[in-house]
Amino acid sequence: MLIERLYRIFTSLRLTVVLLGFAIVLVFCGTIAQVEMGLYRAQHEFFRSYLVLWQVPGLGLKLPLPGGYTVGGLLLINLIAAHLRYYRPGWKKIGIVLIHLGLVMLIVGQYATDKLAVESYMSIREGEASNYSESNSRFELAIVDTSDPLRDRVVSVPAHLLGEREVISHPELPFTLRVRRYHANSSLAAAPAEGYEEVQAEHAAGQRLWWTPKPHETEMNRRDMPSALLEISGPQGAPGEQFVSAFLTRPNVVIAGGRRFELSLRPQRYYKPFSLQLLDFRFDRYPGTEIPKNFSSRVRILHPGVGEREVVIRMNEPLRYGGETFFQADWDKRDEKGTVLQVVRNPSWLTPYLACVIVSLGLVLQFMIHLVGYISKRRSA
Amino acid sequence: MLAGCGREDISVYSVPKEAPHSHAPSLPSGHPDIHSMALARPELKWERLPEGWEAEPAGGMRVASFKVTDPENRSADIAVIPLPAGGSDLELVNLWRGEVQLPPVGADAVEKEASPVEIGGSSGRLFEMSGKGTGGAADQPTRILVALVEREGLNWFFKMKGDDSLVSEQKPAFLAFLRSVSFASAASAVATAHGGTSAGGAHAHNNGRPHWSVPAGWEEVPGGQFLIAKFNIRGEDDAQAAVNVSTSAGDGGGWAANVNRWRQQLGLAPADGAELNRLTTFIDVQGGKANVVDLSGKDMRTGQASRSIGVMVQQPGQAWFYRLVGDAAVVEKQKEAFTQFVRTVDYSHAH
Repeated sequence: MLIERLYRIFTSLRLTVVLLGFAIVLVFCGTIAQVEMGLYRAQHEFFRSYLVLWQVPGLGLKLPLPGGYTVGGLLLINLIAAHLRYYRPGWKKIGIVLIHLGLVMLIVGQYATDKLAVESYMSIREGEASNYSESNSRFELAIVDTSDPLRDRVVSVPAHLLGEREVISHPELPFTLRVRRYHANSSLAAAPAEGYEEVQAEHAAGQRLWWTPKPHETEMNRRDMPSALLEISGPQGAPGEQFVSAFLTRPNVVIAGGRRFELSLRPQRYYKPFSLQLLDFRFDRYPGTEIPKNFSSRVRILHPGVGEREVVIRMNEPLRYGGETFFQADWDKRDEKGTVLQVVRNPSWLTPYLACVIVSLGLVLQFMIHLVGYISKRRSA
Repeated sequence: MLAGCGREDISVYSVPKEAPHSHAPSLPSGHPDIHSMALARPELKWERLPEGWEAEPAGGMRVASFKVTDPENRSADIAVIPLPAGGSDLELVNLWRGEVQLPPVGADAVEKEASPVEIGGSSGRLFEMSGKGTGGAADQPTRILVALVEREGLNWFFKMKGDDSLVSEQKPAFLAFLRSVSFASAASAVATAHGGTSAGGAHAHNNGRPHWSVPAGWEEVPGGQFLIAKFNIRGEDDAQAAVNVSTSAGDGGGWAANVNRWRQQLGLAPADGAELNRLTTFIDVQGGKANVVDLSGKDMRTGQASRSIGVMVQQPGQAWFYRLVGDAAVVEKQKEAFTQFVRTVDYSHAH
């Protein structure tokens, strides 16, 4: 009985309409919420979630809404269930089958993108090469063992763990880190200021510093800058406190267990088995004006054991290599001799294209089947 | 599928030793430049503050911040902000005019608005405008004084903004303050801390930098994100030259590509293989020979005649580039010191 009721609910067109209605409301509320939350968080809380508690602007009221995953998931079940219920075998409905298949692919592909895609940025100066990209929103506490003359051994601790754990330890490290204080977003000052506290621990800036916690950034072009106060303790006693911050580009040096470690809180790095060398960056303008015409980076892919080749990355003409897509994103503003590439690893990047092709094919086929049927009916009449 | 992915945990990996990149990690546009904050934050020094001025915390882009308030509760804010040189005067002037609700002016009016002013021994320009305030001081009579001077690739802005009558009264104090300031950079302070001076020919070494002896008369200045070091050299009659030191993994794109990039900056056509061979000379450096090229042309950015001596030193897995560039007379005079500087660089401590 219950199964039959569920079957009827999940195969009903009403559910489709209700879900599409929720999708519209979700897009509306998510767009409004961007003002307060910023794009990244709004995307995360409204569309990459199962349940949303929407704070209605101006009212102290929180309205529960199904999140993007709930709406998408139910639509997917609804689509498949309705198809199974109403599908009648035969070539006349082949177009409908294709349209449904395309829609399923679109929903599943988007979910896969959300879960699997990683975005990062690679900065390269002309003549230089880089074999890693850096996250724009995630940070890591990098503890780099630099004792080996040829290779560095990196223990990477995602920054959010500093906020979740009191003690950080790893078999590769001869010491443990106790997190005294961690601020997911912070600000530093080079002079005393109200609300700022002087940093009393070791750090690599070479000057006195003051720090303060800050609320999460909501503007799209800004990001949280974490800082942390860590206490290092090892078998030989406690070497003391270390201050690390995303603001400090120079690492702290810690000698422990006869090894030399460099500690820094830096953007999460993604290393590649190949390097990109920037040969030339071009920023063309329309003659006699400052109006941008084209940005492009001529790069050489250096892949040990595979080979080398040169490619040009332009706006709208990204490089796809090694399962990643490199988009022309920014450049060194001072002398236009450096480029910034956005690097997107998205294993399901092809699905929206394929889905669109399948849906279009389905629409054309279905239309043609109807057209041919209609014409032949008229002829026979 | 709906279960989602867990959050990532501690991971461990090995990577080849990193050549010191001449760039810092990328930042989203609009974010304050954090790199200059901790490493090469320019510093300002002054003899004494005018009466009634109180120092405030210098946050954000400000390297110094002051406030002046009088018993009638009138107040003005003074900010000192160094920014990379660039941007048009017209945009800046119209930005400030906007702050006091004045309509924008055209390019020809900008020069008329400027008057000469002395800032820390250099000649700068002063802009003054008054109108009605915006924001918290909406429609209050407001005056802005902005003095700006370009030094070592930075535009220094000294801005006083506040109550119209108070700013007018404080103008002599503001001008006296401008005369009293001097500029320093954290980069040179770091060199000093390591036992060297920026002008005394002593031995200086920093994290990741090779050991070198800096010739007398070279002033170390912040090199920005992409240079290992930068030195300014002043000649006679305000003529200037600079020495830039950078490094790249591998061969840094190769000798030919770099020479042709330098040629391009001097408005010269790219050289082919034979021409390159003719132009290239060699000097002995630690661990072998280095390529040298001496080029003369016109600086494409300023339109001034310019000479450039470029050296590439290939070390295992890494190339080092040294460039002496600027006014031809200064370059000629410094050529020997520059060559000696490159010869004596000790790479055994660079990483």
